[in-house]
Amino acid sequence: MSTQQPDMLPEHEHRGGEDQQPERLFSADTPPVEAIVQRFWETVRKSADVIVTLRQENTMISAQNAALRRSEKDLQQRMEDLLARIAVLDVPSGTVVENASDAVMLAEMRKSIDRTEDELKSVREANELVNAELQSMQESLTASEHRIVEAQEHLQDNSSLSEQLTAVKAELKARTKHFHEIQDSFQNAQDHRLGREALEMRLQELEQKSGLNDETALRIAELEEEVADLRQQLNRALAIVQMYRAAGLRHVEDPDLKDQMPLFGIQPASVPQGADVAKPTPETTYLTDAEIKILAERLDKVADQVAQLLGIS
Amino acid sequence: MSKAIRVTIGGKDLTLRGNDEEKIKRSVREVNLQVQHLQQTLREQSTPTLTVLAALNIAEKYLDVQDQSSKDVRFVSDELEKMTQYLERAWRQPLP
Repeated sequence: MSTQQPDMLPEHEHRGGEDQQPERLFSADTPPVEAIVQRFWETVRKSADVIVTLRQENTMISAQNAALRRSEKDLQQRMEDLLARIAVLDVPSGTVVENASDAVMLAEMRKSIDRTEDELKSVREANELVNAELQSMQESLTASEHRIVEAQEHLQDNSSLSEQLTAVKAELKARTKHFHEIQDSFQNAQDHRLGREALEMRLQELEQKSGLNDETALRIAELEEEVADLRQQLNRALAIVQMYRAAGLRHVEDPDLKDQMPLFGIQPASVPQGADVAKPTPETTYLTDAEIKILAERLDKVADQVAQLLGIS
Repeated sequence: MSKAIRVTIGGKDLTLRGNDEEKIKRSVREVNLQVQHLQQTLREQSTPTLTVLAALNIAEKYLDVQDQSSKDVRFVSDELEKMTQYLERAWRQPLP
């Protein structure tokens, strides 16, 4: 365009080429309008064909409907005529016979009967047509009933599917419940395992304590032995005391040791005899009352320990 | 809500305002393509001259598109009118 370019530019350059990159702004990717209109034309033509076909069918159905209505009207009229003639023929025959002189009337009646028979034939034919129509209607009715049965079966299928779905839901619910029960039993087993571990720990503690009890029993046995030993010593001491008191002496000596040999130069105390017994000295007294008391106190302490060990208070 | 958009057209930085940022950027890109193409073919011309030529080219294409659009609208209207008449004939014509 000469109006859009300076004078020095050749005309073909001012747009930079028609098929160059800048042209893409105005190049539509959509199909051309003519193609779209052509496709729409095809649709319109098909629609017009459908319209014509529907109009033809409608016309045929209307004509058939009119013919059926006319046939129905005609049949209705014939039926009414026949009913009227039957009413005429129902006149009592005695009356006719009494008027035997009127032979003409009888002949007319015979003619009338003949016509009636002819009309009856035509009515039978019309009746056959009606029966054929009824047959076709019956077939149509049977087909409709068949469709209803199919629809009912379809409904029943839907019902059975619904029942199956309900059953599956119930089964799923039961399985969920069973799963929860298994979870609970697993939890119980877990609790039992923990309880068992606690019991085992308690058992170990008791076993340890039982070991302590064994040690205590040994200690008790030792103490009992000590008690027996002390009791024996006490009895022996008391026997010595009794013996020397009976002799009026304060000297105490263990008679069991009188025959032992002295070791390392130590002279054992000799049992006083005769005049020695009559003159006891404090230096020769081996077990005084205080010592006996100390021994008794020691014995009491041992008894207390035994009582504590045995749980006797 | 208009928004300030910084663009470069023909090597010159500009700040534009508009609602549709994407549309503005596309327009700028098209103008730059036109200018770049003219720069390649008309190396001796100054940038303002090339910019004016690009604007003229774009305006010419706009007018072409406008004319084509008017033609398309007229064509479609005529065709729709013909289709309507065709369907009315199919509806009203006497049946064989």
